[in-house]
Amino acid sequence: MESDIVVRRARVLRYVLVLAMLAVVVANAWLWWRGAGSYGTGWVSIYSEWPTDLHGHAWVQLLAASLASALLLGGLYRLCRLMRLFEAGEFFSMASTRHLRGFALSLIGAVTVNTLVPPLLMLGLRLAGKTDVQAISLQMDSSDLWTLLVGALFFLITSLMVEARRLADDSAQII
Amino acid sequence: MAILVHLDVVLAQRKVKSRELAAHVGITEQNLSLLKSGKVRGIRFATLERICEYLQCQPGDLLEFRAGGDPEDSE
Repeated sequence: MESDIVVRRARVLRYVLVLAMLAVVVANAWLWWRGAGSYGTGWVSIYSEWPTDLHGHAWVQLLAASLASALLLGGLYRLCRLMRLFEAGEFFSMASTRHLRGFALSLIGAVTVNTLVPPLLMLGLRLAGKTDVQAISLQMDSSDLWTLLVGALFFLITSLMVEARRLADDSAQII
Repeated sequence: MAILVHLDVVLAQRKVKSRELAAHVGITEQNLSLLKSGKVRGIRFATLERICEYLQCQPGDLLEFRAGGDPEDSE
């Protein structure tokens, strides 16, 4: 049955999501433990990507990376909850819609943080006299744009889920 | 509402219990109760057909249009 396939896939995806969440937590804990914005050994490296002007300020980088990671973790958690609901057969419930919307907003939020936090940090450092940077720029690469588009698309899908829910309610009232 | 449902009257005339009719039609007693009270958005032809078949009546015996009613009352 089609719904059984969806349930099975949702379960597999949930396991993958839990692993991804663990990876994010471990990576952040590792960087905080090393006290650096990036760390590499011979066979594995973990780094957060920030403008070169911030490279001398590892703790600031760590803080910013953790903020973005927290948003990502929040989104992944919402997606996990959504998969749980899918496993229970709740495809168009209000809770499902809320979780997908939360995930979409976290994607959009993560891109916003990635785009806005570096210039704000540099401005803060400049005002505090910790850096002599002369120009502040907003940077957005293609992956940011794609993430933003995917987030917006998921947000649109939540509107469709609300409409589907309304149609299902209407249909349930026809005997 | 503009459409009135007289299912309860026909049931009483035929001395048929709601439970029997619901079982024949294949709907829950709760849904049949909603239908009797007119608190539904619509009725499927298949449901109407099964009701008419069991009660030996016509759709017109069950439903009546009364002008001046507010169709939005049912929502």
